[in-house]
Amino acid sequence: MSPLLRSTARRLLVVVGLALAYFFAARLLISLSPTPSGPVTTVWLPSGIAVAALVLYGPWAAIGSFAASLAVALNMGSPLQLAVAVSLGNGCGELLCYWLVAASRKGDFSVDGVSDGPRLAAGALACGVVSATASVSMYVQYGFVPAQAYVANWLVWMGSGVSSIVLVSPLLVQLVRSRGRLLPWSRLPEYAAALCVLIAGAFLWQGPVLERGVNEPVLLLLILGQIWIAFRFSPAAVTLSNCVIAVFAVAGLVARLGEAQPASAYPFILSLQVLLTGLALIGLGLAAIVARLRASALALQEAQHALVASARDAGRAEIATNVLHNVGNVLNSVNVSAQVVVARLQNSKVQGLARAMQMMDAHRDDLPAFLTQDAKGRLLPAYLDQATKALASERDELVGELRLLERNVDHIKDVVKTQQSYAGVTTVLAPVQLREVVEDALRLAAGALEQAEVTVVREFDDVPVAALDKARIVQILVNLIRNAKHAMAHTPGARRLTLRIGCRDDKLFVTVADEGEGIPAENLTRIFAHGFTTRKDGHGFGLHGAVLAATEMGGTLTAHSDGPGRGATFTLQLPADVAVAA
Amino acid sequence: MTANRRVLVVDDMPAIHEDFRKILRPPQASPLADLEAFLFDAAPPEPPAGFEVESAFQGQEGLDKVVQARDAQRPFALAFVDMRMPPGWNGVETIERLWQADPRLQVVICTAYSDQSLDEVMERLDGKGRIRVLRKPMDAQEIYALAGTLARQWDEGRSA
Repeated sequence: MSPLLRSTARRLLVVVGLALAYFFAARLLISLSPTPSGPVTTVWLPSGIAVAALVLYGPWAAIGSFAASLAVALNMGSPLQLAVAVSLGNGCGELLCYWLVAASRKGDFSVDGVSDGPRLAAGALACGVVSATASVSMYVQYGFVPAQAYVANWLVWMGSGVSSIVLVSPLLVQLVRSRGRLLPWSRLPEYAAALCVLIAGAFLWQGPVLERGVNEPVLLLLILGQIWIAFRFSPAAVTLSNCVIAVFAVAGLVARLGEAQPASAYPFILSLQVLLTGLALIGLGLAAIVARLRASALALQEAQHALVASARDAGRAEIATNVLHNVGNVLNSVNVSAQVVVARLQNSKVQGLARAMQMMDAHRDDLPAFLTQDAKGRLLPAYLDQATKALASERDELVGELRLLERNVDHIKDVVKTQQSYAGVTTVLAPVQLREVVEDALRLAAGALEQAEVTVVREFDDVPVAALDKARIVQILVNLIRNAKHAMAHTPGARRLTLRIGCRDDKLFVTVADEGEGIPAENLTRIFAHGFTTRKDGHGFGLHGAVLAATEMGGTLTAHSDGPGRGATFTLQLPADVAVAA
Repeated sequence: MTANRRVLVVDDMPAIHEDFRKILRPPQASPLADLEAFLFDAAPPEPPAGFEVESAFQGQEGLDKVVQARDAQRPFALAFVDMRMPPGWNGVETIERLWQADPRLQVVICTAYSDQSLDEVMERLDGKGRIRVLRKPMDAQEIYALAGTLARQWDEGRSA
């Protein structure tokens, strides 16, 4: 089926579905209406359904609601022009409302923003005014409603439209978008309890009792219940509670009024509509405000984490810069001194002395004659004398140069010692989820792992948030992961790196396991020694640094291997100040 | 014409000047060299030709020396300029001004680290082959060879 055909079929489905829903909702309400004549009801459910459909599927769905409204009016015996006019009025009102709450916001209807409640109310009012004006005017014109009852009818008609849109549309939209999951299952009992309070309140209230004033204590139940839900749940959950209140309040009103005269029912209905709509908007507004506060708190926490991380980086960078500057320049002199010494020794007069001795050795048998009569031999003693003096001054020069070298090395030692006193003390503990830390480490090593074609297997148990030194743990883990990668460099076949997180005896642990070249038993503790490495290009500082860092945090780092070729597992155990509230 | 072996070092740390002198100055002619040549039938070794090294501790001082040398018809062939020399001009500013005074001067910029990325620096200076970069810590042989190359380049530039 081509996409065009499919979308047309889908649209047809939506239009027909909307029409059917609209029609049957209307019929249901009319049959329940406290006033047996005229389609006046407290909450005109079909309007809410229609607006929800427009928001979810688009303005073209209005065709369905128009058709259904026409059908309803005709079904009740209204003349064709009346039916058409009323349906047109309803349709235009719904489209106007849709435009106000969704289209003008580039199509995104929501209840999560603080301004969304008032916007919804404005849209509902606009729809109510248009629809009520069109319909009630037509009814008066055709004589179905007496002219003096125009205002009362208009008010109630408008109220039924407004309350329906405010109460019903948000719930329907949220239900469809979240596919029925308005709130987390774990908190259902609490929500159900709040709903029970609301149901009791709504039904007990049974709508306003105008002769004796409004039933205040019971209303309080409703208000408290709404506040409870608004603070503890999301705006989406509030849309459901709004509907629940409305259903049971209307049910209560219907139960009480039963046989009441049409004329005297209007004030009840109107006040009920106002109260229900007001409660609904208050609930939505409160929930939106609370949701925004929560989001700010979360953003603040994340900003704090980022700040701690960058402060640590800045501190580290500063140490590095200091060392670079102080040591870099001194290293120059060290370098040069060393090279000067080497150059001098290479050209040392010692070689001349050696050659002179060779010469004398060659004339061993006639040395006196050589020394007194040979042209070269005669110069030899003077040469030996001068060479000895030259050697002495060479020695002085070299000693001077090496003393300078010593001084420079001492300077470097001082710099390093000073920086050591700054470095390593900064332990930053923050409430952290260990899983995130491991993912951070994996992200840092991702490039290297991909290049080495290593697959990562994650076996993460659920662990609580704990106060941990995130940066140090990431450092250790990156080191372990890199070692594992190198261990598997020559492994044929699958290269699997398994990472496990768990909690045992109040201690959190992370294990990094590889299937590489393994560790012979005698090396299991030696691998942590400073400078120990089995890699050609290794420097041996990684594991030593890692075990030091682990100890500094109050934890342990241990290695286990079944032997060469059987892989290795490194376990980092951390003391967990567990259950630190996030 | 004799080769130009005049080198200017511009750096704020005195130790660096000592280092350059040790590397670049001509070794003292050994009085024994001729004697040895005669005694051991060896050809007297060619002493490596050193350089004449002058020092400046700030950019401004360096500029003054270059101007002086140029006016005295004894210009510098090359200059080693450090990147950071507080409180005065930094390396880039110094080199720009040196080239304004003597455009034929070959320059080596010495840097341990810098706050401007090296590419930006090179772009700003637009060396036209007159500039090289040297990272600290420096290697004596590398510096000696570099000085020789640049001095030769200066000579060729003069004859071109």
